[in-house]
Amino acid sequence: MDLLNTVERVVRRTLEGKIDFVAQTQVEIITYVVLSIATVVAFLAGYIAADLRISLAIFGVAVLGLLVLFVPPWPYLNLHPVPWRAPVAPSLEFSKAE
Amino acid sequence: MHSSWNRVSTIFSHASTALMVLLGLVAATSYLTLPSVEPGNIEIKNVHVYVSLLEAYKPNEAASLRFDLDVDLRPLFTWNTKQLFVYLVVDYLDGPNTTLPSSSTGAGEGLVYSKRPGNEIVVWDRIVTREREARLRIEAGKTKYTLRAVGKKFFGAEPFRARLMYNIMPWVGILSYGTAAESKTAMDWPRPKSV
Repeated sequence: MDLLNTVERVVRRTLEGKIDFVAQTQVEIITYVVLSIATVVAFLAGYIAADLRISLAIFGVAVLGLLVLFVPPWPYLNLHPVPWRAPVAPSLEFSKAE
Repeated sequence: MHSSWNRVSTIFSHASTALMVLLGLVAATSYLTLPSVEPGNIEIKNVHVYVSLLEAYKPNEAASLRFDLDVDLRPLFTWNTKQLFVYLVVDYLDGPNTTLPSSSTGAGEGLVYSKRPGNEIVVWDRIVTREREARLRIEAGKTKYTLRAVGKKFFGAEPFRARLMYNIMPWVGILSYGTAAESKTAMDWPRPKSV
């Protein structure tokens, strides 16, 4: 049972893909900025090249890039973990004080 | 943004908004910079009028045409043109209505046709999907669809004209229409040939 629980926890954690708070803010801002720039660049490139496929290709590459870079919990998205206080043994402290 | 699923959702949400903006820009730009064509030549060579026996109990006149066509539609192919629908329209007024007795067609007899409806009939069309096929040069082309006399017969109706219209179908945006050529001389309706 212990092994099963461990496996379940690992799988859940991998699928959930938690990232730290700093990365969450950055990912959201970068998504906005990249998509806005990609829209403008795709439009201009397609207009200049007179080919709608170029527009859609540029936009598609931008979306795919964002998905690859930001969806899996890559290690660079977890560089700012929240520092937890070191664990203390409350029962021990309590008994000492008594 | 805390979980993978949340990030997928956010990215796709922003992406769909941005895609709508992109397509809106494309549609607006191509609408503001609609291409036009040099007027080409359309000439009706031959009018063939016959009595249609499709409905033998009420014989109607029908007509087919032969036409020469020379028009260059290549400027219409921009980055946002999917295909063109090119069609030949014949404009004509109805002939005198022969089903009514001649005494009742005069003015002041109760039945007064102050406004005669004009007919705009498509007699030929073509779908052009590639720019290199957009140079249309047709000699003695035959109409695809027959003209049918609404007032039973053509003879006596006013001379008619033909014009070549096009419809640009874009990848994104709204349809736009235009005239590519108009016949310079009006043609008279001949008497029907016996079948």
